[in-house]
Amino acid sequence: MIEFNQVSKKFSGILANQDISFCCQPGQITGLLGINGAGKSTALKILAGLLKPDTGDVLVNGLSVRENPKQVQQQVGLFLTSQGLYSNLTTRENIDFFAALQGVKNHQQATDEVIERLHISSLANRKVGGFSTGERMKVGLARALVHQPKYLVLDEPSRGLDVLAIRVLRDYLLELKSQGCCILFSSHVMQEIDKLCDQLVIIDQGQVCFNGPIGELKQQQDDLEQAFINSISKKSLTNSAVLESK
Amino acid sequence: MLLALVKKEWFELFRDKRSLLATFAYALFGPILLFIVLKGIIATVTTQTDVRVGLYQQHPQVEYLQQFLQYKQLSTEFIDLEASQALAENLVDVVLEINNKTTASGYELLQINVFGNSENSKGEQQLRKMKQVMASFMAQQATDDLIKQGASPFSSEWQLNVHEVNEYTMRGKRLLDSLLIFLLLSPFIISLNYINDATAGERERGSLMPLLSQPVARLKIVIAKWLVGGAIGIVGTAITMVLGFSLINSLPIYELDMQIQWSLSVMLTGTLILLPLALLVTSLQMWVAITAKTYKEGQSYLTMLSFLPMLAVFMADKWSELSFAHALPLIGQQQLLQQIFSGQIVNFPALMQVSILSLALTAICLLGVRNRLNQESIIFER
Repeated sequence: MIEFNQVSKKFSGILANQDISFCCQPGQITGLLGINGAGKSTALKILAGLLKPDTGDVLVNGLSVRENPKQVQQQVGLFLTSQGLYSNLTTRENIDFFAALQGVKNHQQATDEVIERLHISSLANRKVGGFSTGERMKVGLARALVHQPKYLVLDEPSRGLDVLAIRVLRDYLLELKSQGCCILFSSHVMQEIDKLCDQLVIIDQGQVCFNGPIGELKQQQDDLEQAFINSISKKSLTNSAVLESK
Repeated sequence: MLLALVKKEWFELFRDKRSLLATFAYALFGPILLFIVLKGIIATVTTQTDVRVGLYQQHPQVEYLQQFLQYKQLSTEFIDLEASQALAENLVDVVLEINNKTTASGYELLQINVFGNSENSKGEQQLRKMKQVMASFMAQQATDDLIKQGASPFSSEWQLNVHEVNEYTMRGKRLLDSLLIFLLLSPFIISLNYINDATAGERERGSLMPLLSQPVARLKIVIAKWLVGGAIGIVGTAITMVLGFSLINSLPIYELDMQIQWSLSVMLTGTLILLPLALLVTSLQMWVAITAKTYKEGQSYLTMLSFLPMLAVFMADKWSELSFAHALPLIGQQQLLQQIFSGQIVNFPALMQVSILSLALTAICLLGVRNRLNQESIIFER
């Protein structure tokens, strides 16, 4: 289980996260929603051990990120961006490198297995440099899964993907969910959230404004997009509209 | 884990052919360019200046002057044109004209006028040579006059003799200093591309964050990059030194009052002197470039850093007044290189001091890079 316990984080006087608390259960997909700048990425970076919270803590399988960041990182598969691949390395080398960093004993075998599992054998020996966004996403996902983590964290994984690639990603996530993996992912695509998520956490101005089953939110309003808009504050909507007009 | 990190850095560097060429371009082409430049300078300095001398007017003494010029192996011819016209038509390079002149006190003098065109370097050289020859002619005449008057030309009790006791002239020293700038600059230039790509480049491409989110000590990430950067810095600098000084030593550099000691032991000692410097430069470049958000920004910072060797060499005389200068990185290494290339015995205590201080500063820089990787501004790429 992933537990956010009253996590707060401030950057140059601005509260990016304010007493955030929510849980993600194993075998479930939890969606993290919020407009740009709401504090989703900050929360995920705290979970990844990249940032230290000012107050509060995140527990992964009972382990504190604050106290044991390395052990938590070994249990979590991270997909923070599809851009961070090494273009001069092949798919196999990219995945193998991260398997070695995760301390996987037989990392070459683990790399072969994940390549087979994600059906990317045709990409295995090609340099990542010329890959499409969809192909990069697959390699990034393989990289996050190579050490067979029980927890998977994805930050806007479908950004820039075409319809087919999104479907492939969705199928992967559902398969992992059926295997008991605990998945937390942030997204702006309501359709994707609707089809995948069991639980939903909405962050607005650094605070959790909704935390519960997706059905609960849809009870208030059948259209998920409208339900999301209703749940966030008017101030955020105004700010967002101003940004859009600019 | 460190091996995996080093392997990844190695692949990243060696699979990018353009970047690899840029990395070693200085080490491979720099010495060749320097060789060509020095060869040109030596050729200019040593070229025999041929002067065609035109003798104007059939003055009775002109034949005597002609004999002297022929003795000095200069070709002469009599001309009828005005000096300016003969020079303009390029019939001769210099024109000499002898006139009788009577002074206010009634002495009869023979005046020699020299005409030349110094608007280009060749004309300037020819005119300079002619002035030297004529100075020699005048000195000869003064001696002859004393003999004619029955006095010995050596009757004076004063005689001037200048002996240069130094092995190397200031010109030779200055030239060696310029070669040392070239050598000291090499670790700065050679590792620049790689270090910039491995730090600012990784930040720009977004690959630093996934790397930092792995269960790896940040110091290991820093050390892996530093090891690869340091290795190419050392190899590149050694290539620059061996290739550069071998090529230069094949030239007649004594014509420039220069002497360079060049042997296997000098080569090895030179590498030993430069090794801690290359490692320090790599760590310093990492510390500077990691603050840059983009490759371009990192390149600007590192280019500015590359002016340090020039500061060390151009202010060498000032630095040498400081009692601890020999222990300072760059300055100490410059002094040691000067010693070995000019055939002096290397000062081993100074070598130890400068190497230890360089390595200590390297460790500080690496810890500084590690600390910067923990900074939120780096994580958030702001």
